[in-house]
Amino acid sequence: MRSLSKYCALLLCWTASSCLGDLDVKPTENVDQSVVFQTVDDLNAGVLGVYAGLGTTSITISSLMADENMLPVENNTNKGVQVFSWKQEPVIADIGQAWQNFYMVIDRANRILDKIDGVAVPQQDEAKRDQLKGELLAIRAYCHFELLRHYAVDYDPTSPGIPVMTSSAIGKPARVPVSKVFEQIDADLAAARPLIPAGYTVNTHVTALAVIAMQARSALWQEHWEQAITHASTVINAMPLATPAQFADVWLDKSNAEVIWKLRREAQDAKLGDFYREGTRIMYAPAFKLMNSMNAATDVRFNAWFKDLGAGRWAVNKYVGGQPALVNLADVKLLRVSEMYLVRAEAYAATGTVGLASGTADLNALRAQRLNGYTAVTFASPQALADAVLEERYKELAFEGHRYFDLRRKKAPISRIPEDVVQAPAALLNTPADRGYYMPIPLRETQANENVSQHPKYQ
Amino acid sequence: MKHALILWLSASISIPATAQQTAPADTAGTTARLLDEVVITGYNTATRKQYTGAATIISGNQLNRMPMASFDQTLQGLAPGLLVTSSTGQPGAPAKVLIRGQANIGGVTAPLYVVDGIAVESGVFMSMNPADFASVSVLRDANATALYGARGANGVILITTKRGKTGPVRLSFNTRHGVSMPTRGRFDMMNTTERLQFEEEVGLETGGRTLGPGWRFSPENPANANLAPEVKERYAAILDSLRGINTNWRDKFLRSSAPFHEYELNASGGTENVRFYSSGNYLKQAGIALRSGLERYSFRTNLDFNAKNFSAAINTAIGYSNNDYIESENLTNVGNPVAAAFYGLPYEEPYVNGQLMHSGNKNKLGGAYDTREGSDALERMENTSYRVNQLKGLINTAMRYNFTSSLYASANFGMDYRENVDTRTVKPGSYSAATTPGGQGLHREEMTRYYQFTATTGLNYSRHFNELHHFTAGAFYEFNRMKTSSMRITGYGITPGLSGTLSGITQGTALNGFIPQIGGGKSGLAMASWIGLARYSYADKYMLNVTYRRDGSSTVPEQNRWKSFYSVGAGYDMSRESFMQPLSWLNTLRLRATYGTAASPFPGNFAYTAGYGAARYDGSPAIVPVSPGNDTYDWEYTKILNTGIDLAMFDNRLRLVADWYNRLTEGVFVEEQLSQTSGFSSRLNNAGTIRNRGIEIDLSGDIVRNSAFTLYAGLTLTYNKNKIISLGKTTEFTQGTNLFRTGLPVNTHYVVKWAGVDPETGKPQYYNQDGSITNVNNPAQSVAEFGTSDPSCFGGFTTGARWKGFSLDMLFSYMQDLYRYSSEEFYTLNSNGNAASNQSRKWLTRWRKRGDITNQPKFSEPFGFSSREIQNASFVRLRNIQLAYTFPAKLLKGTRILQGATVYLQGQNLLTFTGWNGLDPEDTNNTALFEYPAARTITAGASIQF
Repeated sequence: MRSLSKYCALLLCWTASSCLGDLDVKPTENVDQSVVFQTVDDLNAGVLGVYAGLGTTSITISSLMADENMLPVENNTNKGVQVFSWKQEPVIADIGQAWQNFYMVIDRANRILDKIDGVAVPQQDEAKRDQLKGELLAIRAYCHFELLRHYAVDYDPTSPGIPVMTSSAIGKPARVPVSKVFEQIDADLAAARPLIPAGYTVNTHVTALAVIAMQARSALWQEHWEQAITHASTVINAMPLATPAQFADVWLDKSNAEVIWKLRREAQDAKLGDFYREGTRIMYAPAFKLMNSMNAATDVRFNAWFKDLGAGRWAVNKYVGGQPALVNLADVKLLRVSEMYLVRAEAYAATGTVGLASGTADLNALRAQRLNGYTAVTFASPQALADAVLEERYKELAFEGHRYFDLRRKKAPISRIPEDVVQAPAALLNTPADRGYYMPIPLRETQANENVSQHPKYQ
Repeated sequence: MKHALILWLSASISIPATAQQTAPADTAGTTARLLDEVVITGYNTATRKQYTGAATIISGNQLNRMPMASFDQTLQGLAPGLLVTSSTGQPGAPAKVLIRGQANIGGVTAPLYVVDGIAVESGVFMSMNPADFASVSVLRDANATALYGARGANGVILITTKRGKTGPVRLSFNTRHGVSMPTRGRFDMMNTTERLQFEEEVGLETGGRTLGPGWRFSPENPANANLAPEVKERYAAILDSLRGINTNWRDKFLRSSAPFHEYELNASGGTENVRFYSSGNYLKQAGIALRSGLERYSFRTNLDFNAKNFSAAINTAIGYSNNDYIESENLTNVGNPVAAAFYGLPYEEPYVNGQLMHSGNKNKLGGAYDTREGSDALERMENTSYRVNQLKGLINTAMRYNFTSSLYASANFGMDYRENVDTRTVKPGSYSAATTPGGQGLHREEMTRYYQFTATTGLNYSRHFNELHHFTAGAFYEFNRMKTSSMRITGYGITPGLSGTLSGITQGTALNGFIPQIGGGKSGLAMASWIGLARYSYADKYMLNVTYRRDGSSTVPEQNRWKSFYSVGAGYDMSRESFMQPLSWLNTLRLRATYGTAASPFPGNFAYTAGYGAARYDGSPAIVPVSPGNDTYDWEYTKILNTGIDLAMFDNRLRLVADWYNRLTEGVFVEEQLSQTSGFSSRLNNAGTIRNRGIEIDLSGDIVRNSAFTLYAGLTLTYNKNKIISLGKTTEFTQGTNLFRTGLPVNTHYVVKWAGVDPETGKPQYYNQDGSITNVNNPAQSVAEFGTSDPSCFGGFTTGARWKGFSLDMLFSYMQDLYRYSSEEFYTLNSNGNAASNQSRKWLTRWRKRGDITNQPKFSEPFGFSSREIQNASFVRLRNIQLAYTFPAKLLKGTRILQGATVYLQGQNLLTFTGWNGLDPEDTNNTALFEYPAARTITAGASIQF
C-alpha cells in the first residue's frame, strides 16, 4: 500500500513535469528571420518593407548642394545649413543619411534575395515570386546607383566607387571601381526586366517600364549613348508625356500621367514637403536663379511648383500635396517620362551631328508640353543642344534629386547668384577642385569599416 | 531534450527544499547570531559551521520596523556588500539594489529574488507585506550565486516567510499611524522682495531684458520714464500689491504632514501535523508630493502538513495596491510638482476668491502679472491623474518525501503573477486638456501582465558518519518559464462625468479626430537547469562546499544555450584546533575561501535574433528587419573569488565577519559600431570586462550585557572599487553624460571643467583639456575628473539598548564618495528662458562690476554644463530610530486575554548630514533633476498578542 501511493505520487510528478523543459521559445513581437519567409504573401510583405525603407535623401541633398534653392533668413534652425554652405564634414548627419538609408534598403532586399529562390511556392504563385524578385533586383540597382552618385570619388570608370552589396552580411567592404558598380547595376536591371510582367503597371512599385527607365539612366551616366537611346525610346513609346492640362494634377497626386515610379506616401509617413517649408516657416525657398530661368507666364511648371507668398517670399510647392489636412504630404516621384526625352536628347547630341535633328525633336516635344504657345527651336551644333538639354534638366527635374549629380557628371561648377545666398554669402561658386564639391563618406562608417577609403578631398 | 527524460525520472522520485525548513530564530538584539544561525543557501539549508560562502541574514522584524511599503528599501545599511538606493520618495517605489558593484553597462544589475524557493520579479514589491517575512538572506559570493547559475551573477536575495508553530492559536494585532514630511533639504529660492529686485536689476544690467513685473513696472525702466503721473502711481501700486504676496510653492506642492496608517492582523498555530500562519494587512500612505500615495491590501496564508514520511507546505500570498503618482518626475516640466515647487514665482497668488487662476482662465479672472507657472502646475495636478493598480499573487506548493532518515525527495512548484493597470487621464474641458484633440481630454490605460513559473524537483542526502564526517548532497532539476504581455489604449473625446474609465471614450472618426491609439506586445523566456551540490565537513573543523549547475536558456542562441557553472569553497575552523584551546577568550576563528562562476542575462528575451517587425507601405502591412541578430551572443560571465574570516571573542560578545572579494565580469555587452553596409549601425557584442573588488565588514558587539541591561552596537562597511578592464575594440565611449573608459569606474562624470568667473569681465571660464582657460563651453574639452555617481564606500551602523521593558534601536546608513550633477542648480541659476521662472538666491552674489570675486557669472553671459554643478552627494542619515516599551508579562496576566503588548514610537530619516545642495542627496542616477525627494516619517504604533 505504501509503495503504491509512493509510485502514484511519482507518476503524478512525472506527468506534471514532462511539459516542462522546452526552451524553444520564439519571439512574438517580431518574426525570426529564419522562418519569416514561407509563402509568397510573406515575401510580398517583405518586399513592401523594402519599399517602406526608401527615403528621399537624394532629393534633399541635391537641393542643398546644387543651385536649386535659396536659404531664407527665416530659416534660423540651422537645418542643412552646413551642406548648403558647402562646409559639410564627415561627421554631420545630413552627409550620412543617404549612406545609411540606401544601404539599409539594399540589405533589406538582399535578405529576401538570399532566400527567395529557396521558398517553395505553389505553381500558381511562381510568377508572383519571380516578379517580387525582379522588383528587389531593380531596387537594389536603384540604391547602388544613388549611392554611387552621392559618394563615388567621381564617375570615371576607374575611379573608386562604392562598396557593392549583393548579399546580406556584416562585413567591412571596400569601394570597388565605378565601372564594377555599374556592371552590378546593369546586371541586376537586366535580370529584373524579364521577371516583371509587362502587364503590371502599378506605379507605386517597380514595373518593367521602370526597370527600362533605370537602364536608360544608367546608360546615360556611363555615356553608353546607343543603349541610352534604345532604352529611353522603349519607355517613350510606352507612355506619353503629361499634357499641360494634366501637369498640375500630377503634383497633387490626382493624376498619374507620365509617372513611371513613385513612392506612395500616407499619413504618418515622413513628409518631404517639410524639408522646404515647416508650418509657416520657409526652410528652403526656390532659387531665384531657377525661377529667373523660367517664364512665369508660359511655363506650366512655374505655377505648379512655386508659390509667391508676397514680400519677396517664395515657397517650393512641389511637395505640398493635394490633401488640405495633410499639408506637405505628397507621393515622391522617382521616375518620369520627361526624363527619358532628356536622356535621349542628350544621347543623340552626344552622337554628333547625325543625332542633332532627333535630339532637337525630343527637346521640342518636351517643351511643347510644358510651355504654352511654344514654337520649336533649332540648334546650331550638337554642343548647343547638349547645353540646352542640361539647362532643361535643371528646370524639368528641379527638386527631384538630379541637379547636383548632373553637374558632377559634367564636372561643371555649381554656381549660385547672390540673392540665393543671403545667409551664406560665401557659397557662390563650388568647382570640382573644391573640397565642398564632393560628399565625404560618413565618419561613423570609416570608423567602423577601415577598408572603405575616405574621399581624397576629405583625407 | 533527450537527456531530459533521465532527469525526469530522477526528479520525479523527489520532492522540497527550503520552504519547510524551520525559519531562523529571530536574531534581532540577540547575541548568537554569528555562530549557529541557519544559512538558507537555496535548494537546501546549512548552518554557518558547514557553509563557506559570504551570506548575511537579516531578520524580518528588523526590516518591518521601517514604515516603507517596498521591502527592498528597508535593506539599506543592513548588509555589507549590498547597496540599496532609493530613486524616489514615492510610497511603494522599489529601490535600486546592487550587490558588489555594477558589473555591466546597461544590463541587468538587480539580484535574483527568491521567495520560499520561487523566483519572483525584481523591483515589484509594493504589493507584498514585509511583515510576513521571517528573514531575508543576502548571498554574495560564488558558493551561492553559482548555485543559481545563469541568474545568480548579481547575487541572490532569499526571502523566507513566516510559518505557524505547533501550539495554541496566537493572534497578533499591529497598527501604526504617523505623518511624513520633507527631510528639509536645502531649498534656496528667491522670495518676492528678492525676485522683484532681481528682475529690476536684470533689466538695468542687460539694457532692458524683461523677466517680469519687477522690471516692467519699475520706475528705473526707461520705457516708463515718460508715463503720466497717474500711470506711474498705478505701476507703483501694482508692485506694492505684488510685494504683499509671498507664496511658498514648496509648501503648495510638498505636504508637511502626509498621513500614514497601517493595520495588520495575523494568526498562527497548529497541531503536530497541521500548522498555519495567516495574515491580513492594510496600509495607506500619502506621499509628500501632492496627490501621490499608496494604498495596499495584502493577505498571506502558509500551511504546513506532515504525515509520516510525507510533508507539504502551501504558501499563498496576494496583494492589491492602488498607487497615485505625480507626473513627469525627473523632468524640468510643469507637470512635475517638484519642478514647479522650484519654478513658481513667489509673487504669484494661485487663488482668486477661492478659485484657482491658471493660464486657461486668467483673462476671465482679471489677468495676472506673473507667468502662472505654479498655478498651471496646480491645475495640472487637479485635472490629470496617473494611477497604477497592481495585483500580485505568489503561490507555491512544496512537497517532501523522506525515504530514509538521510534521504528525501522534494518538489517545489510555484508561480509569481503580477498585473499592472496604469491609467492616465486628462479631464475634458480643463486647461490641461487643451493639447488633446478638441480639448476633450484623454484616457490612457495600459495593462501589463507578468507571470513566472518555477518548478524544482530533486533528491537530498544528508548523513553523519562516525560523528566526525558530515556529508550533504543534493541533485535537482529546475524549470523556469516567464511570460509578459501588455496592451495599451489611448482614447480621446472623454464624455464629461465618465472620465476614469474606457467607457468615456468617444469613437474616433476622421471628422472628430478622436482616433484612439492602440498598442501592445508579448514576450517570454524559458530556462532549464540541472543542479548538483555537496557539502562535507570533518569534525566541524574542515569544510568543503561544491556546487555545479548546467543551465539552458531561450534567451541565448543555440550555440551558447547550455552552459555550466560551478563553485568550490573551503573552510577551516581554527578555533577547534587543540593548540587554540588555551585562548579561552576566542570563541570562533574560521577562515573561508570560495571561487566560482555565474552569469547574468542581458535585457531582451530575443536580443540575439535577427527578427522582422511590422511596418507598412502603400496601405498594406509590411515587415522589415528590426535587429541585426548576433549568433555569437552570449551571457555576461562573472567569476568571484572570495576569502573571509569569522571571528567571535569574549564570550561571543564581539563578532566580526569580514570578506575580501574579486568579482570579474567578462563578456560584458558593449555596443559595436557596424559598417552600415550591413543594414544596421550597431549591435551588442560580448566584448568588455569589468572588475569589482572590495572588502566587506560586519562587526557587532555587546558593550554591556547583563540580565537587566544590554547595550549593543554594530557596523557594516563596504568598500567597492569598480574598474573597467576592457571595452573590446574600443577604449571609451559616452552614454548621456556618463563616460565609460578603460581604467576608470563605470558611470564616470564627463563634463567641461569649471574655471570660475573672470573678475574682469564677469564671463564664465572653463578649462580646456590642455589646462588653458577659455570662455567657450566646448563639450569636446570634457574631462573625467569628477568621480562617479556610485558610492565606493557605504554601509550602516546600529546601536541600541534594552532595559527592562524598554528598548531603543537606531540605524544610521551612509554612502560616501559619490558625486552627482545638480541640474536643479543649472536650471535655477540660468540666464536663458528659465530665468523667467523663479531662480536660486545664489543669483544675488553674481558678478556685477569689474573686480567682483564670485562664482556666479554676469547675468547676460550664457553658460553651459560644466563641473560647477557637480556636488558631493555623500551622506549619513539617521535611517531609523525606535523607542519601544513591552509590557511585562506579569501585568498582562491579569487581563487573561493579552499575551503580549508593545507600544513604540519611531522615526524614519529623522536626520540627514550632507553637503548636497538640494532636496535630498539620495538617488540612483548621476543627475539630480527635480526628483521626488525621500520623506521623513514619524509613526507611533502598538503590537498586541492574544
